[in-house]
Amino acid sequence: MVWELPVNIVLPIYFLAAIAGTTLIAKFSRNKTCRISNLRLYIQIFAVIAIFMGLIIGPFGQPRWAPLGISPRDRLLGADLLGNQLPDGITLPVLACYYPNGRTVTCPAWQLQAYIFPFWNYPRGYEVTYSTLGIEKIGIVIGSLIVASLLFGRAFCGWLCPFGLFQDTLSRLRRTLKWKHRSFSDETNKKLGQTRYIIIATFLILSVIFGSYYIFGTELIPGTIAGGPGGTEAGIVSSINEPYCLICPMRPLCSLIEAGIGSMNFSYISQIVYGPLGIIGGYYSSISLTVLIIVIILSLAYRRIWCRICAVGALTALFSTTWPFKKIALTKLQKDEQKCTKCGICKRACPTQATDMYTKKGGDVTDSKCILCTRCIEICPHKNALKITFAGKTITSSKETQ
Amino acid sequence: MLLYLLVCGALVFHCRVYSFALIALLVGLSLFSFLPAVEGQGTAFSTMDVFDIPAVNGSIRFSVNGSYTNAFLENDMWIFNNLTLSGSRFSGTLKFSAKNCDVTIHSFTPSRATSNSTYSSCSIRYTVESDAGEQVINLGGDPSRPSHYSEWTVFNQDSVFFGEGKTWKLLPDETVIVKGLSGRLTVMRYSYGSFVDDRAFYLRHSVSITTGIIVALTVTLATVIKLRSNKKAKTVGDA
Repeated sequence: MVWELPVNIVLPIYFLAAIAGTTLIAKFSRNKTCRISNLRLYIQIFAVIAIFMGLIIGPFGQPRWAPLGISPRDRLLGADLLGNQLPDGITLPVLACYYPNGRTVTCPAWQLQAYIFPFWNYPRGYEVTYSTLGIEKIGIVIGSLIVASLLFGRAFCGWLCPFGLFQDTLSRLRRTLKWKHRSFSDETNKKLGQTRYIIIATFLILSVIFGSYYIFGTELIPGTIAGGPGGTEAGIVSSINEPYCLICPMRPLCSLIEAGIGSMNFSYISQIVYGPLGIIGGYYSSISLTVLIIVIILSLAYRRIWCRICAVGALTALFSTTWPFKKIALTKLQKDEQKCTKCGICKRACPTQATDMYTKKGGDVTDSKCILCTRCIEICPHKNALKITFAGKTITSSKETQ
Repeated sequence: MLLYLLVCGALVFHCRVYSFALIALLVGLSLFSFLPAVEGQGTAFSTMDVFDIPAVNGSIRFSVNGSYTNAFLENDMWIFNNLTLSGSRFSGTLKFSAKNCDVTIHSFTPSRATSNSTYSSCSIRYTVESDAGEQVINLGGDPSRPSHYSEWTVFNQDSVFFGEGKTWKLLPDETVIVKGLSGRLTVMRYSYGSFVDDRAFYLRHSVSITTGIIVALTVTLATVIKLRSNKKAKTVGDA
């Protein structure tokens, strides 16, 4: 469904509700060990609404596949502000998938892959003509990632990411069913954390290989020219220029949800295009659907399972917790060694099994796996032993509990 | 940018006034809508309207509502001036002829090429409902700035891209003739190779310049804060 409500009414109501709700929860929540978690849930929900605001305020661009239903997909914050230089929207380091309808920001993983495609000379993208080179657009995306990561680190993962909310919801379902969560060993978790960098690097290299004709003028893999000069018939290219998006579970999740609520015609799901990586539907592949099912099953046992290998999380962690960015990142998890009794409750509470807040002595203990959800702070029984700081100012700290 | 400067100001000066200003700005910004869709003017049409071309046994209809300032049949071709489809931001002139086929048009992006335009691209998506027939399409391209056939793409719902010369061809007046294809087709021009952007440098690269400035400001601000907190920690340590 597309409500097409007036923007002038929707946005003020949205902001007022977001601010009012946040203030009420922060001030009046009685259970102090869950107050921040409740606040975070509230903010996550409003973040998802903001990211898919186009579904509420209606179609803006032309219908893309009108027989398949109106596509309110061009309601892009960035498209209005940035014009034809970057019409794919503003980069936000969350899994705000490029493909669903009604989105207002864009996933950087998609942007990095897509902008490799018209790299040196050519402003052409997918059914869009830009006025900037691919390399310039990649620079804009990386610049945006650096700014976002330096300011807030992986707090985007913990507080704004729609897929994070999805996993948290599954975790809440697990708790409701009174199933105990499982944990990986520290060694396994560490290897998972390293794997995400390998994943993002691999898929960016694949994007370069598949877009090689447009970058180097040489087709490294036959059939990777999309309707090129003379209108060559495309083989596999239209399916795999964004290889990461073919495995990312966010795309099938968004497609299924939007088709379910009527914001995307079901033909987007049911239209089958056979490709080289299994059956490819209109907006998902058999691989990504399988990954989604696996993530759903594993999320009922492990908390934030996808966040441990997420490529977007890897990019954010790269620009906030690795040298030299770590030195100047503004949002940090800090520990006061004098007040820590090594009870280990922070380590057990952490949904991504970050361990630096337990193992490191003091000072900045921001782990690259840490999504700054503040659960460790919420649960820590010792006053000011752990705290989140922004630009040196304490945002929240652990409270003394009996 | 104003939002960013306010955040920076709040950081540097730790001033509550900036926090309240931030909230007021957010609410205030929300009172302004984004660019509205182009309002259709002139004659409205619906999906029930059929534009017949009896002489060549063809018909055209649209799968969405829309409007045009005027439409007429000339030389077996329907000409829609200022055609705007529902939900679209764009309006322009479409010339379409369907010979021995029935066509439903789903979307239309007119050519926006002008002497000052930053890019010229156009597209149309339609379904050939009956036998393949022939479609003659002009999306308003400027014949004085002719495009090359390599700038154009014709593909169907299965993402099969059709070779120029086999099933479609481009005429010197920017008209595309599609023949022998059925199903849902997209005809699109990408401004391939003839792209000319003669705006000033800072306009052409305004987004990257702005991004660069914001990155530099953020790194500078973060470094200043880091140095200040190091100095403060050292002062406390010495004390």
